[in-house]
Amino acid sequence: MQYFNFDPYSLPPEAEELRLEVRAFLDKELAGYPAVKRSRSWVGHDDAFSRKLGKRGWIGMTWPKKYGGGERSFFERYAYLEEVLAYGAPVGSHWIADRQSGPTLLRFGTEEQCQRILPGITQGTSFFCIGMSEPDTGSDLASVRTKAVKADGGYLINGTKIWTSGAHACDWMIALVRTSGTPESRHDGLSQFLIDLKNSKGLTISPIRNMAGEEHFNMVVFEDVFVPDENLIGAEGDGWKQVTAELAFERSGPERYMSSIQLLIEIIREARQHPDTRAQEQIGRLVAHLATMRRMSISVAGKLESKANPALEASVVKDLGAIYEQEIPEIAHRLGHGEASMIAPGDFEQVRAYITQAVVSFSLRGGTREILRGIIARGLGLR
Amino acid sequence: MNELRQIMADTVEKLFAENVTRNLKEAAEASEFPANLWKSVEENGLLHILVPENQGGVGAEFADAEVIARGIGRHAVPIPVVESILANWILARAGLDIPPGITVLAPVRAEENLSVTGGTVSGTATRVPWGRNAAHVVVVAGNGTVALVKAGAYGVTENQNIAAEPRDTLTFDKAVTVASAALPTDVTTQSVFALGAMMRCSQMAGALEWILDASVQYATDRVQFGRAIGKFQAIQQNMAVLAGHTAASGAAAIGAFQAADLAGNTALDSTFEIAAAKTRISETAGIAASLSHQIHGAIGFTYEHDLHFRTRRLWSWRDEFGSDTYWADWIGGNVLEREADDLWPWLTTRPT
Repeated sequence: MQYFNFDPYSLPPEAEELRLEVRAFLDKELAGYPAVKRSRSWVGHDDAFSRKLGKRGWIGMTWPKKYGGGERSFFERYAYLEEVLAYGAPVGSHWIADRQSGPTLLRFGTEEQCQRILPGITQGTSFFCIGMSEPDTGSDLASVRTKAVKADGGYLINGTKIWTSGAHACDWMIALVRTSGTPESRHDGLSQFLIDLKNSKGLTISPIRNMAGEEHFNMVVFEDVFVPDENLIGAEGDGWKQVTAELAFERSGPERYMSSIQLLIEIIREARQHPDTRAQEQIGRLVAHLATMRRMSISVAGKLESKANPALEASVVKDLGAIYEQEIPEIAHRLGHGEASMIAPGDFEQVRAYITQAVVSFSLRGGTREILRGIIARGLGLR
Repeated sequence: MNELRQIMADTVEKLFAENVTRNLKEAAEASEFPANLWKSVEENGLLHILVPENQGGVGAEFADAEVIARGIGRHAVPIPVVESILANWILARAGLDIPPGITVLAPVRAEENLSVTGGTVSGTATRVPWGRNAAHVVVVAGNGTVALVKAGAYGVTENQNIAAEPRDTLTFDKAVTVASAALPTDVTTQSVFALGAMMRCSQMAGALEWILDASVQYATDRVQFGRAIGKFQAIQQNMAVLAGHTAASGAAAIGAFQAADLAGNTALDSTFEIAAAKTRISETAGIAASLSHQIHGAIGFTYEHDLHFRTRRLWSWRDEFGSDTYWADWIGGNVLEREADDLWPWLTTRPT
C-alpha cells in the first residue's frame, strides 16, 4: 500500500531567477555578518532588515497586490526562503507574520481585516506572534482556557498565553481562545482573535529567558482585555478548524531542515583547514541527508501548490528534518576539535555552542516529535 | 508516473507476486536456481529494458527500470535481474550483440580491476552476483574496454551474501573473450559501479516498502493485553520512524534514477545523487530492519516467516556497490574541494 508520495519536483525557472537575485542582495547587505548571528537562523531579529526585505517585495510575496503582496508563485517564495535560511539572514521579526498570520487572515479574515493589516506586514513594519500555547496547554492544544466573553461591541479576554516568541516586539498576536463551552468541550467553542499588543489595556508581557541566553519567549497575561468585534478572525467557534489548517502550512518548509545549516558550513570550513578523514566521511553523510531532505521538502511544496493536502508527507519532513538538525551538533562534537563556547574567538566554537543548545527546541516547536509521529501513525491506519 | 512506467510497474508486480513464493525463495537459498521465473522475466522483456529499440530492446529510461529494481526488492526476487539489465545496457552502449541467457557483470567492487588485452581477460573479481549461474560475464576494464566472456573460460568459487544470494569469486587467467569493444567515454568502471549502487538503492527502497506494509499489517492483527499492538503508542512511534526512513529511501532512490537519466541527456554527472541515495538508504536500512523485527517479535525471527527475506537483503545490499561509509567519504571529498560557503549554492544546482 502506498501511504505517501514524494515524486520528484523541480522548482520553475522564475524561482531560480529570484534565487540569484536574493543571493546577490544578501551578499551585499550582509557582508561581514557574524557567523554566530547567522546561526540564529529564522529566530534572529533585525527590524530594519525586515523593512529592507519589505521594500524588495519579499514579504507576503505570494499575496494579492491589492494588499501589498507580489502575486508571485509559491515556488518563488520557496527559493527565496531557502536563500535567506542558507545565509542565516535575520528574518525573525516578520517571520511569523509572513509565514503564518498573513495566510491565516487571507484564508479566514474579512476584507476589512486584510486591507487594514496585510499592507503593514508586506512593508516589514507590522510584526506578529502566535498565541496558542498556555501554561496548561502545550501539545494538547484543544485544552485552552483563555476565555473571551461577549461584551458591548466586542469581547473581554482573560487568561494567559505562553512561549509567545517575540510578543514584546510585535504589533499583533493571533490568539486562540475559548468563546463558549469549557476545556472539556475540546475542539468546539474555540475562536481566533487579532490582539493589538501595542494599544490594548490589561495586557502584561513578561520575557522568559531560554537556556541559550535569549529572550524571545514571553508570557502574556490578559486581564479584561477588550477586543472589538472586527478583530474576530473567521467565524466564532471555528478556531480549531482554522488553526489546524494553519499548522499544516508550516510543517514542510525549508526551515524544517535548514535551521542548523550554519554549523554544517562551519564544520566544512574547519575540515578544510584541518583535513581529517573522519570529518570528510561525516560531512558526506550530512550532505547526503541534506540533499534528501531538500528533495522531500520540494516534493511537498509541489503538492501544496497543486492544492493537494500532503499532511502526512509534511509531518514526515518535519520529523526527519528535526532529527537531522539535531544530528549536526552531535557530529560536530564527535569530530573532537576543541571545545564549544559562546565567547570563544572562533566561529566554529561559537556556532557550535549556540546550535548545540538551540536544537533541543526544534523537535518541540510547531508540533512535538511525538505529536508528529502520532499523525504519521494515523496515516498508516494504526489509530 | 508515465504510461510505460505504470505498465512496467503492473507487469513486475503481477509477475513477482504470483511467482516468487516462499518455496521458491527457500529453494533458491538451497542453490536451486528458479529457471522458470528467469524465463518469465526474459519473455517479458525486462532484461532488455535499457537496450535501444534499434538493438532489439525496449529503449526505456533508467527511471522506468527503477520500478523493476523496486519490485526485485519488494518481493526478494532471487535472480540477477538488475545485474543483467546493466550488463545488457553496457553491451548495447558498446555496440556488441546481446547473448541470450543469464549475463552478469564484473567486477562489482571499487578496488578490483580486470585487464582486457589481446582478446583475453585476466584478474580476479570477488562477490560477483550469480557468477555460478551465468552463461556470460560482461567485464568492464579500467582501460575503457568491455569484453564478453563465456562460462567455462573462468574459474568459479562459490560464496554468498547474508541473504544467501550467490556472490561468487571469478578467476580469469587469460580467459578468451567472445567479443570485446571500446566503451563510450561516459561508461567507465566508476560509472558502472555507481549504476550498480543506484540499483541497490531501489532494491532496498522496495524491501523497505514491503517491510512497512508487513509491519502495519502485523501491528493491526496481533493482539496483546486485549488490543492490537498497533494501538500502543510505543509501537506507533516506532512505526512512524520506520515509515519516515521508508519514505526518505523511496524519494532518494527515485532521485538517483532521475539524475542518471539527466546525465544521459545533459552534461550532468549523476554520481552525487547516486552517492547521496546510497548513503542515506544504507545508513538507515539497519535501523529499519531492526524496528521491523522489534514490531514482529519472535515470529519474525523464524525462518518460516517472510520478513527475513527482506531484512537479510537489506543487511547485504547496504554493503554492496559501496557502503554508506564508502559513498559518504566520496561525497565529503567532493564537498571539501569547494569553499564552505559554496556548499549551498552548489547544492541548489543539483536536480530535485
